[in-house]
Order: sequence, then C-alpha cells, then structure tokens
Amino acid sequence: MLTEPPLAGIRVLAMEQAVALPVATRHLADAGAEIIRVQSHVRGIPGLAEIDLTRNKRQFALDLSLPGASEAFLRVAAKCDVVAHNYTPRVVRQFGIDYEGVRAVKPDIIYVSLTGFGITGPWGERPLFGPGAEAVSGHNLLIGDADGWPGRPGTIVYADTTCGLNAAFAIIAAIEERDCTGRGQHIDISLYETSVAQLGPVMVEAELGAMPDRIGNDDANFAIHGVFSCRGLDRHLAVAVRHDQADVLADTMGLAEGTAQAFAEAVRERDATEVAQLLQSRGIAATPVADAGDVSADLHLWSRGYFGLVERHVAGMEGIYPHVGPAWGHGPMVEMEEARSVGADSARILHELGGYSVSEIADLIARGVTGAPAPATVPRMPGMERIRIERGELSRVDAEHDGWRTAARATGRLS
Amino acid sequence: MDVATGVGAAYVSRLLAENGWDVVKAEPSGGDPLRRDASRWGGGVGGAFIFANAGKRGVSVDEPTLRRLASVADVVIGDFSPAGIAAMRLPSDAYDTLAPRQAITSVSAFGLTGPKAAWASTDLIVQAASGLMFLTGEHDQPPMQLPPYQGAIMGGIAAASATLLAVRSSRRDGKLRRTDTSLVEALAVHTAGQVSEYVYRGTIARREARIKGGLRMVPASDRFVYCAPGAVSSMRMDGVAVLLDEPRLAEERFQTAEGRMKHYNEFIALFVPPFKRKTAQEWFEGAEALHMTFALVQTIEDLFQCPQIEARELLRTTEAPDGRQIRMPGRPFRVVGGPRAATKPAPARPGIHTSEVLTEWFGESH
Repeated sequence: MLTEPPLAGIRVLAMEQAVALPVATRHLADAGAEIIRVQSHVRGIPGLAEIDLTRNKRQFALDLSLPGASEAFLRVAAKCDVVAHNYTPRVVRQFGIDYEGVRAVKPDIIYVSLTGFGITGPWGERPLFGPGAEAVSGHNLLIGDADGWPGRPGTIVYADTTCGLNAAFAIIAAIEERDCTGRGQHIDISLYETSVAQLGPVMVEAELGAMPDRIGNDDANFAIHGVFSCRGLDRHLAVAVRHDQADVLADTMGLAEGTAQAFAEAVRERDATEVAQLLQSRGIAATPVADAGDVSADLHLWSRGYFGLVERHVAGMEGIYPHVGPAWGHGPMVEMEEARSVGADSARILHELGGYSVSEIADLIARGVTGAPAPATVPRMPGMERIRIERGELSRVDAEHDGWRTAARATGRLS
Repeated sequence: MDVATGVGAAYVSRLLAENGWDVVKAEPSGGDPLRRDASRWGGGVGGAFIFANAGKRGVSVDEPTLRRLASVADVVIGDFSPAGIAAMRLPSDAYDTLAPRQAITSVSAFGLTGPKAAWASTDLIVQAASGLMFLTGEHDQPPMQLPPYQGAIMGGIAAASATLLAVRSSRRDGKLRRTDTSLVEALAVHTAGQVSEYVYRGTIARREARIKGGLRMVPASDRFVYCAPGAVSSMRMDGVAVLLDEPRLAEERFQTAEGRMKHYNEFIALFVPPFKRKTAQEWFEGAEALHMTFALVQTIEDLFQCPQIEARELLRTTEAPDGRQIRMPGRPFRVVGGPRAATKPAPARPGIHTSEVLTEWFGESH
C-alpha cells in the first residue's frame, strides 16, 4: 500500500466468538490494526462465515480454564492497545481478565465488553443472541404484513453486525482519545442497545404521535412504494414513486395511468434490471432487489473498490475469492489475507509478546493451555445443498457462480 | 461542519457531537429538506431530523461564509451526491473545493463514483440494492422492507469511523483526506456471509424458511414471544416439550429439522397452540428457568418502559422543534465512568445559532 494505514501500530487482543466482535475487529484490521484473535483450540471446524470473519487476524489459542492461561493472556494483553471480549461479564471475571485485571498490567488499556444487554442493569447477566436482540429491540414488530406474523431483518446476523460496526467506531474513538489524553477507557456496548439505537427515528416518531407497526412495504410519503415481481425465479424490482412522479411513471412505462396495479402488470414478464435502468433514466428511484449473486458481481460496487481479493491456499479451496471490504467503502487499506487456522500463531505470540521461552511454550503446549490443531478445512458435505433446498433454506444453487470475475476484470482488479 | 441532508451523513456528526466535538450544521434558508420528511406511517411528522441532528448548532450563511467556515473546521460532512448537493443548495464542486483542515466525509446512497452514482434513491432502494431486503420476509412472500433508515444509520456509523481514521491519517502527514461512503455498501456488509456462500458455493439463501414456521415468534396469550432465537436447524424439542407440558414434542421424529419438515403439520399443531395458555412474559421466564434462551418481542412502546433501558439511561430527553419534550436513544454505547454525552436538541430552526457560531469560529463580533 502506498501510505501507512491509519491504525498501523495498533494491537488488539480480542477474545471473540460468534459475529459481533469479530465484525468489529475485522474492520479495525482493514484499517491496519494488528488483530490477535483468542479462542480455544478445543473446538469445531470453522465454516465459511468464520473464514470471512477471521481473515487478516493472527490466531492465538488458549484454553482459559487451565492454570497458566490467564497469565499468558495478561502477559500478551500488557503489550496491546485494546483488549476486547464478547463473553458474559461472569466469564471474564472468573478468568481474572476483566477490566480491572487487564488495567493492572496495562494502565492505559482500552477495554471493550461487548455483551447482550450491557454489563449493568437488571438484564445485565442475561444471555442474548443476535436474532433475540432483533426481537427484543423492536425490529421484528416493524417487519412484515399487518395481518401476518412479525418478520426479521434478513440474515441471522443483523444485530451482531450492527453492534460490530458501532463497536469499531467506539474503539477508534477511544484510540484517538487515548492518543490525546493518555487515558484508556472501558467501553460497555451491547447488542440490545445498538439495535435500539437503530430505531431512534422511529422512537421519535412514536413520541410525536405516529403509530409504528407492520405495514408491509408501504410508505405514506410515496404514491407507489414496494417491490414488484419480474421475470425469473424470485426476481423483484423495488420502486419508490413520489406523488409528483405518477405521470412520469405512466409515460415511461406506456401505462394508461400511473397506478401500482397497472405497473405490476406491466413489469411481470420484464427484466428487473432493464426496468430499473429505464425508470432511473427518468429520475424514478428503482433497483432490482439484489441477491448475494447480484451483489458479488455488481459492476458499480467493483468499480468503487468495495471488494478485496483473498488468495486461498487451503487444500480444496485454492484460488482467488472476493470478500466484502469495510462498511465505509474504498475496500481494505491493507492487503486481504487468508483466514489462518486456530492457534496458528500461538507460539510466536507467546514468545514475542508474552516473553515466554521456547521451553516454557513447550510446557504450555504439553499441558494443553495452548496449541495449534491441524489446519482446518471447510467441510463440503455431499448433497447438503439439496437438503437445504428441501428445507426451504436455499432459494437456488448456481452451477456457475463466478460472475464476479467479469466485474473484477472490467474494473482492472483481476487480469 | 455538517452540510448534511438525509440521516446517514447527519448521523456521522451526531456521533461526533456525542464524543465531544463542536458540530455546526449549515442549512440553506429553507432548511434541510429532512425537516419536512413525514413518517413512514403518515401523520405528517417525521422523527429523522430530530434524531440525527441532536447535539448540533445551526447556521445559515452565504457561499463565501460557508467556504470560510469550512476552512476553519477540522472536518466537513455531507451528502455530496447530485441529490444531496441540490437539496442543500451547495456549490456543485463542494466535495472537491471545500477545504477543511483534515477531512471531508461524504455519505450518499450509492457513493460519488461508479455507474450508479447518480441513481435516484430512497430508504427502500438502499435496502433492496444491498442484498439485505432479498433475505427479509417469509419464504412464500416477496421481499420485505426493514424498519426505516437502517441503511442510513449504518452508513452513518461506518462513515463516522472513516472520518476518525481520516483525521488520524491527516494528523500524520498534514494532508486533507476525502472519504466517500455509500449506504448500500454499508448495509451490504450485513450480507457478507451470504456473498461468501455464493462465491464459494453458488448458494442463494432464501427468506425465512418454512422449516422455521412456529420456531420463531409464536403468539402467546397476549403477544408474540420469540422461542428459538438460536440455530433452528439443529434445535431439539425435548426442552420445549417440558416447558409446554406436551410430551409428544419429545418424540424422536421432532428432534431434527428434517423430521419436523417431514411431519410439519403435526409439529405445528402440537407446538403452536399451547403458547396461548400463558403470557409472553410467563413463557420467557419459564424458559429462562429451564436454561433456554427465549426473547421478548417488544414494541416501540415497550422500549420506553423497559427496565434495562431505564437502568442504563439509554434514552435522552430532548426538545422537538415545536417545543415538545420527547425521549430518544442517546449514544449507543457507554464509557464506564465517562462523562455523559451531550444532550443538546437538534437546531429548532435553520440558522438559529449563526451569529454565535460566526463569533466563536472567526473570533470576531457579528
């Protein structure tokens, strides 16, 4: 890279699991921070999501339940700028790696507790997963048709990713503050509260007298607002027509009148992308409802450098693959690096940062405190896709799924 | 200095204001059009402007003064897309020529470059283009929109990080940084896992699968309760059988996702009706006693009454432009023992702090 990335020289020790904190630290990694991911080596094989969440991170395996592990954690923590975890408050207290424990070895540490409900309050010790956070924070009762059951934000990681992006901001702000004042801080961030904050405008509207509820795809600000079925399997066009645009819509589409019903009939057998481009040429807001395949091959996103490329060497997966870059755009500020296997960097981290000798490290390995299991491969269960289609979990499986290469070549990212 | 319209760009400087920054919002004399946006639910009054612009002072100035304010600001934040420029009546070359000390941050729907840069957009369009809407809704329904402004708020958080990173880089080399965040891209990060699934395997996930029928939100006697917020496909039913006092749910055929699909109607008939016997709160507490993680399905009204939100003082009271006292979420995270973030309301009218700000920022009397 041409210039030094903004977080070069910042080291983050992240005892992370699931999605929320890994999303946060992946964003910090994309800005040049060194991320040390701490996780137990006594665990299963990572799936695809984990590959995405662990790229550009060093892997430090620790079984914190064993004697000596907490000390190893703290000796490494003393050489870090940020220590973060997304376990319950009880767990970090139990291992002596809570804020007080870490601050004792690194007085200006930036310490992050990412939890379900926050570390205080009557619900502070309750477990919470992302999908539960969406429900309890009010999102689900705002999604779906009025006469249907509540919906959910698509994917199972909406609340997690939301919290992760908030946590990345909180951490960057804390680093800036420390560099100005010399003081660290303890950030207390939760799935629940960051999901509630996403509904800030809705809460204000409720206070001002609106009645937030499920109204499908309606919006009182528009003459026509929603999605319309187009040609192909599960293809839809999203359209938002202002009240002053109904005539333009009718004119553009050759309709007798610019109503939702007439429009629906006109586009049913048409290509969603073509209609979107036609409407956009007349200033009407429209887009195909993109699926993951569309996103992966979107020339617009590629031209803006949104994706990065990861060269993978793991057996059975050799090749180059695109991965989504940071949420703020421009792609990562460092080269994307392949996800490393659990514990791959343990010995080096213990030696370089923890100050352990080779024989001490051998002892930790022998006692199972640390370790590096055989490099993980991503299992590809034969017939799994068929089962998932039967379950209704998958819409389709494309035999050809490298449309992204065309966009990558067109934008000079791939030769 | 904030020259933002829309929620995304405005939320960047709101977050910075809560971190102690002095934020000035410059609006044309007619005001930011966001002030006039109505609620999705009608009724004429929107909440977006009030929420996204808390903690800022308002100025309304001519172009030379705007450029001069920019030159003494550390950062300028706005939506510099054609639509954003027009809405705020900014100079058409504002993104390239405003010269703050450290960074210019743009937050717009599709970003400032690329073939869709000039596309007309709304909240719905951002959600649809991001890949997230495709996944939202039921398997037998068309895609459903999320609550309002999800892409915008997400883009604001992302761009707030980008702004601090730009400031950090600028401090090192003294150069002005420009960042160009797209709401579509910020929201698309949520589907990064699905994009990986696709490029590695070609699979396209569906909206809520039929298999999850009943295993998500079930109607209790008073309202819905979320009864399986974990991994549904691997979930066993023996605990639920105890909770619901319905031993047939413990039969082996209902213990796997495949079994439940095969015996779907019988499963639903056994699983759903018993929930009507108690309130959602009672089921939630009963599940907790059995170490199962259920979740309450709260309404917006519930959030205002929530004991956890109250204990953690998440909500701030602020003043709406019409003088009403209203509550809304404050900073979305806490710094333990740190100062409470600013609670200043959004500027009630465009330009109400103009002379005060000009005096302070230019160090001369106006």
